[in-house]
Amino acid sequence: MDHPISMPPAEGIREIHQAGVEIIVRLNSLFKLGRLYSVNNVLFKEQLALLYQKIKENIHQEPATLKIREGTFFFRNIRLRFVFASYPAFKTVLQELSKREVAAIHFYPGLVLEELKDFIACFFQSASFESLLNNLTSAQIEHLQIEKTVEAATPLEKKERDRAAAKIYFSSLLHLKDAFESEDPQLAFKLNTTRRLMQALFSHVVENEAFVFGLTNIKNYDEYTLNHSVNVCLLSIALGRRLGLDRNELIELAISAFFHDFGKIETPKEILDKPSKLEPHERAIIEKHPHHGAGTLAAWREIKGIPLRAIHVAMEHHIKEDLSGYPQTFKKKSTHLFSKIVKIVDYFDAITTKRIYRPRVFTREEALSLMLEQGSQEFHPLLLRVFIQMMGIYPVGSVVALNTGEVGLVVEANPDPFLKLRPKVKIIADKEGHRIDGPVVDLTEKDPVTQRYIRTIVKGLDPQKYNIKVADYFIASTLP
Amino acid sequence: MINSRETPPSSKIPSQEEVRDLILLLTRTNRAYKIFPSEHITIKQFVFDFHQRLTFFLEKQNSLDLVIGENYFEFMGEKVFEDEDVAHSLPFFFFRDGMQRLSFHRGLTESELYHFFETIKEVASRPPEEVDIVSAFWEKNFENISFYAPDEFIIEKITSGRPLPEYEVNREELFSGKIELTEEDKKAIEEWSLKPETIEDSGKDMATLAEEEIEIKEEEWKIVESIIHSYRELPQDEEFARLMLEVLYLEDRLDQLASFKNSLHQVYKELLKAGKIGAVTSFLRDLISLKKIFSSTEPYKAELIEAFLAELGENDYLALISELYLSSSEAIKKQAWVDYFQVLGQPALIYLAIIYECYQLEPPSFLDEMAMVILDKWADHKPEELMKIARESSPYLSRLIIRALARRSSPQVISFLSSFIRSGQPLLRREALEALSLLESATAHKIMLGYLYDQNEEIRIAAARILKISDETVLDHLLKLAAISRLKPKSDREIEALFEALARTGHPKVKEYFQEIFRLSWFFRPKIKKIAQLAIEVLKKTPNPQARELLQEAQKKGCGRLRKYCQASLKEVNSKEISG
Repeated sequence: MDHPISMPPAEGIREIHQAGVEIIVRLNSLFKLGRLYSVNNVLFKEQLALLYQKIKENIHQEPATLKIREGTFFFRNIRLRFVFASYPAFKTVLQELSKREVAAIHFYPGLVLEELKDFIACFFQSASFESLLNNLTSAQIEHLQIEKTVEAATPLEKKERDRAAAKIYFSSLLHLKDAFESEDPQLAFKLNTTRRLMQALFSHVVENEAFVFGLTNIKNYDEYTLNHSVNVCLLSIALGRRLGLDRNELIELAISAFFHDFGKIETPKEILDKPSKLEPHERAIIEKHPHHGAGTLAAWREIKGIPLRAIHVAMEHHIKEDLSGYPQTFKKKSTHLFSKIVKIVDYFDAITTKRIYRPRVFTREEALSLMLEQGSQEFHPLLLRVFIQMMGIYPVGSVVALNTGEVGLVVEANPDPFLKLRPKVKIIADKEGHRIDGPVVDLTEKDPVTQRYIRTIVKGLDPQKYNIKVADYFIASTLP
Repeated sequence: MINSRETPPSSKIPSQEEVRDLILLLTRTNRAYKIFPSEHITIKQFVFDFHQRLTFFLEKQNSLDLVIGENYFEFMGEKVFEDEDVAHSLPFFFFRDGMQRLSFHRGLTESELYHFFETIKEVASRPPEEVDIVSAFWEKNFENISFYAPDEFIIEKITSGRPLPEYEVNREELFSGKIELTEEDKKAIEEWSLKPETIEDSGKDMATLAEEEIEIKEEEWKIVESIIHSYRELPQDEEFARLMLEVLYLEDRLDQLASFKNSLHQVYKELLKAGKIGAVTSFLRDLISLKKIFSSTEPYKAELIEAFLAELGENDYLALISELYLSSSEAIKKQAWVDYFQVLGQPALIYLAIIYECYQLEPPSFLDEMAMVILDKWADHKPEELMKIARESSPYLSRLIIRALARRSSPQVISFLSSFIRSGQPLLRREALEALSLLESATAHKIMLGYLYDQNEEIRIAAARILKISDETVLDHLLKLAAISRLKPKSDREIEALFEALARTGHPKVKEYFQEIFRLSWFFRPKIKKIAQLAIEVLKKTPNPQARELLQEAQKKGCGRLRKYCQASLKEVNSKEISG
């Protein structure tokens, strides 16, 4: 089914955008309500009527089309940009449509409310594009048509995509290592290359976020600081994206996060890696890295085009929300938004990483819980909650015990806030505890007979305790 | 890097000729951009034509997808454009930065095309190590222009032939063996299985985080959005200034500090260029506070700030400051600039000099008032500096400097003031003259004599009026100047001024001088008559006994008309005395 894309009308691009966003939000509500109630429920009907109204307003002589291209929605040929508030709706609708390989929905003139209701009902009954198409045909829906995704990712393509993300991840490590370990860091500091690298990272985060989150489970590869910086960079992009930063802001955030520990270039290795408690003078040296980093980046700002925000982040990523922490500044009244973001991510990655001086690490879900407990003294409370929402109650990389007795590795969070406890999980041990290369299962899947969930998380497990090398599973998935 | 969109292919295959023409127009438009400024009519015409032709094509084909080779564009497997001159080749320009495909899609606007060419022009004008076209296109995020540049390009750039770091995974180890759950974990699973499951909360008890804790309400979304908005509004230059102060406050590496002065200049210049005089003042004020803090703890940093402040008067800033000042509103001139100059310290003098240079006419009085506050401060500390500026800058400012210095009597100041006797500026000669008259110094008064010979009559008159005859040599000099023969060419006002100067002294020599004048015959000598009349007028106004005596004497002994004049004058004086 192929409908050519027509030119967007010159009039009301803003209105079309608003309508498109509203349609996504309404669809999301219907998807949620549909799980709990029947299509005749009052709440459901209300939402349906509102959706219908909006669609009708946008059908003129040509059909109004909602289309997905490269993970982005277009409505009537206008690219729909989400803001922080609408992000969960975008993500859920995108996933629901992608799951059924639906690339576009065309709403034709003459569409009636009943047809829209039938479409939603069919949508719930169908797990694939083919079954959806059959159901739509059976329901005799004439004024609504769907288009199949031309290139749905095959497992092989998914593997390729993951492999590409991993390559970029390791290139980032190498790039940062060049800057950190060069005899002349200023010479080795190539911001244009960094910028382009960050754009590539950004694209991978957008297209393959779950796997990228998985990669952030790689810890202490080569040098802690380098590995940590790349992880912080990736998670910062994802958090910034949730907050609704635009893509150029996200690149600046990524650069800022990437170089947030640049000051450690001057901290002696024996202090950085000291296995025992630091002496006060050693702690004082460590605590200089924020302002040393900021000072160096500031000095290079003009020649190298360092973004101002990167200097902020280098300086402020250890300053707490109540302005305690370090360094103690001259006149600061608040830290920069980017510093607040990086502070959260930096902290999370640090406490989930094993170090010589910190043999006990927190599991990812424990880390989030601990951070929440720290309250508003340590972090910006709202940003922290957005971060936790993003990571999910069981973040990607969490090892979980399932009610089936199986052990699973969380590989993708559920974007639906109501289903945070039901991520996608790779089975890594069977009921008997045998380590296996098991399938990836969706914990929202229900038994068709009992209508009960097939699998449910019972509790999070500490991967260290069971010698489970989390990162290895993600890398293994990219191997031939 | 990919920034692409899929467009359903059209069933109609376009002719290669049509595409060739389009690409030719594309490259010509790009060349035109190199020759003409963006707003030039030729550019507009080129873009308009290209847009028209491209739109016509896209209406039929939905998209124009070009494959980029080293020096060619390919369309549907055939070369449609080739240019081997790497200096000008558009395909090479894209190829060199790793772009492999470029597509234009239906819906493309003329404005997008302008930005597309603008971006190419901008990137081409900058060194390749600073920016590349892929990165620039990515940032523009065109709605209807997409491109494809594989990650391999950036990976190769980073690795430069080195192998990528390898992460070794032992698959066998990963997928063999057993996970033996601890008793505690086993128990948790068992306990769970005894609980009734509901759709909504299954597993919730076991989760370490409660959903309610992380749920974000609608009003909180708005707060997040407003936080982001407020950070977007933060002026970068002001932020940079604040940040640099923090860096300076904390910096302890001497080598890093060596280049820090440049950074301070960079901040200062950026703020000035943005016309933010209030922010500049606040930056300077903070720096001065830091200097005070550092003077006891880190003197080398205090010196650095001192050196920076001293350099603010250098040529780099002069044009910028005057331009900025003149373009400011009156209100800003009266408030922000006054603040700024007062905080700035000595370099303010240099800036003031430049600003005064810009005034062809009398500057506004508030500027003079502000300048006087600053000059008064510096007249004590750096009189030499002030004198230097006064000699070199606008007469309006020099005039104020003279005024400020005149409040401090010293041989140096007298010598400085005396130098103005030769100034080409009457305004300054006059100001210096008045300044000299205020000084309690015989030398200063002698110097004033020189002004009696000034080329400007007004100055000569002023000099005579304020001249202080503190010793006989000055008096003798004046009497010589007032010799009848030398008076003749002078105007009545000047003669009158000289007579006033003499009459004020009450000296016997002056009495003799006037007696001599009254003895002269007026017959056929109108000038002598006029001189005598002026003498009577002056004596009449001079409130000393000698003047009265002279008039009384002339009333008795003089010629007829002289007597008459003196009589009338005395009568007038008497009646004034009676009335009061």
